[in-house]
Amino acid sequence: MPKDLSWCVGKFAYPHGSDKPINFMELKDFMLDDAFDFSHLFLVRTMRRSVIAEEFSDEGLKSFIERDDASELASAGAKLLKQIADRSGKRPVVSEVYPGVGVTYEYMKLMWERDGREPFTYHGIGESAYGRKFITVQAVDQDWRDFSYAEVDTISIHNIEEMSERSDLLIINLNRHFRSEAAATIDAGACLAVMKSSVLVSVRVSESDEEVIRTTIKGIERRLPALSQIIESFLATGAPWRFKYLPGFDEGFMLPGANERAGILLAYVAPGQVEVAGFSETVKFSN
Amino acid sequence: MTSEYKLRPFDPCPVPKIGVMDSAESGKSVMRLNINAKYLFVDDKGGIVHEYYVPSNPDIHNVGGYVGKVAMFRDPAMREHFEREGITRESFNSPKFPILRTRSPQIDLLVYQYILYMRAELKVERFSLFDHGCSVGEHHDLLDMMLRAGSGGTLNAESVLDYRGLDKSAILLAIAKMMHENVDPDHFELLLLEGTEFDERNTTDLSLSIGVVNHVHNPMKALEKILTMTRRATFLALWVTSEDEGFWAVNHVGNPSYFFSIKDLAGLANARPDGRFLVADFILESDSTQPNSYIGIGSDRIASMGSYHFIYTTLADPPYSDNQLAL
Repeated sequence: MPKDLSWCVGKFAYPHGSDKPINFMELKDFMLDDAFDFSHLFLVRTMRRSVIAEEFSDEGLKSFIERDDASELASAGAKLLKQIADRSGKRPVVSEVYPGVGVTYEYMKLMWERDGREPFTYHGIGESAYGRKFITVQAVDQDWRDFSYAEVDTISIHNIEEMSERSDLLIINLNRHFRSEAAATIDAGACLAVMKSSVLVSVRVSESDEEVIRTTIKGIERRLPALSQIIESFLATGAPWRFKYLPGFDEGFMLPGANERAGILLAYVAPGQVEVAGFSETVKFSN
Repeated sequence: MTSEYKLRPFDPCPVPKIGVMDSAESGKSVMRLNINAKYLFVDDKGGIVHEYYVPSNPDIHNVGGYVGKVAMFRDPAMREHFEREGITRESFNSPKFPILRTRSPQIDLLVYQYILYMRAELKVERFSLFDHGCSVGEHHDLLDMMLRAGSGGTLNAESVLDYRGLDKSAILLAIAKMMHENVDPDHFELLLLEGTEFDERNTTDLSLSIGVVNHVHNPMKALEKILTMTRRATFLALWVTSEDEGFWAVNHVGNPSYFFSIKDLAGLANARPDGRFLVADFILESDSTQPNSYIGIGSDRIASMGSYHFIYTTLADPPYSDNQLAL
């Protein structure tokens, strides 16, 4: 039997020392995810233009950012891309599935620029709800004009294959999608067969033996693949996958569920011996 | 697949009939508040099952709405809509663009109509516009969209407006700057200041303040300064009370917010006797999208509160059919 819960999201005002609120104001959708994603993106953009982004020194935002894997993902992506670009000698092309408003892209720009490199080409593909928002905030970035965003609400394996063919690096940001309210999702394992380029994946996983269903704070039920199974399916491709597991990362985004812990798995594969610090051939966890 | 949870929304703190801050005495007392923002899940006994904290800074909440507005105001589909349907109250009430039905765009439409009138009748080509509480500069974007669509692309905000935006939020202004890097800085200026602290000697043709005057340090002073510095027209959303005297409330951010009385407005009109308040709209607070915005105020008092959309103008024959406020 499902457990009945009452829920709300908003701003609570408590008299000091009391746990009984005297006011509650609901926060609308646009005051939540969009607000935090845009703030995060512009914080990074400010960092690109100055050493310290004082305007954004907010503890709440800092705490939110610590629960977002965008910088981890971008750091791995930028390191991979540098090695790929150095080998090919060409202007690289990055594609990202489910980029949201482009926070990972923004971090990659930061890391790319700090290395003194010319902008790379970028293609995003994701939910139509993000299309205008992505384009608007990216279009004002004067030096990074070579980008696109394809609005596709239900991404197919065919879409993944196409993106993979046109890219030097394909980022599949399944964690970004996990956090959204969109219904359909692609399966990380099913993508593997059609990969043509270097790939970097971010996916929420469970430390249980089998896939589990968890409910997010948005009330959306999501499947979490078992960490051991997904690693097995990656390695079964015969490609030299590398992994980094972030146990317990942003676990509060899901309502209390099974006893097994959950976390985020970052994984990449690239031709040749491309190594990124912090990644390894296997993952140790406490199951 | 078995569902783990069945969720239903609830209000953890319904507005009482009489709020803890409603009495005259409470208005003079000090209450220390802790404010946080979170997702809250409780069981049928009211026990907390789960909490997920999110940023509680209102500037960060505002980023979502205002940058989202800029995205909508730069949408080519909106420009096509204006070119096809015209830029009128009817086209602003189209279900295709619900954002245009909301408060700020409705007031931007008044500004646009005023600009057109002044250009046509008084042959004024360029206007200075003071945006009091400009956030990320989204008014500039909607005016830009209307000017482009209404002129077949021959006009835009940069060619018509000398825009000066003021906000006390460094975050919002940083974003405003980044969102308008393409606009000539000679025609787009941003000021990081508290909303009473601007210099009224810097006069302006037009001014705009959407609810900001209510929660600056000195609302009466700020409004008087805006009216004094504005040569042609001030566009305002102003929160008022039908009670005899204006009063201070505390908004959801924990900041004081002043509700003007009609007596207050009469006093301000006397300070600038060559103009008058025209009423474009009035929205009862109980009908607004966020009636729980004020801490400790009960439903009885909320019923006395509302917001006017005003144009304070010195024009004898303005381009509106709106009525003058009886003061």
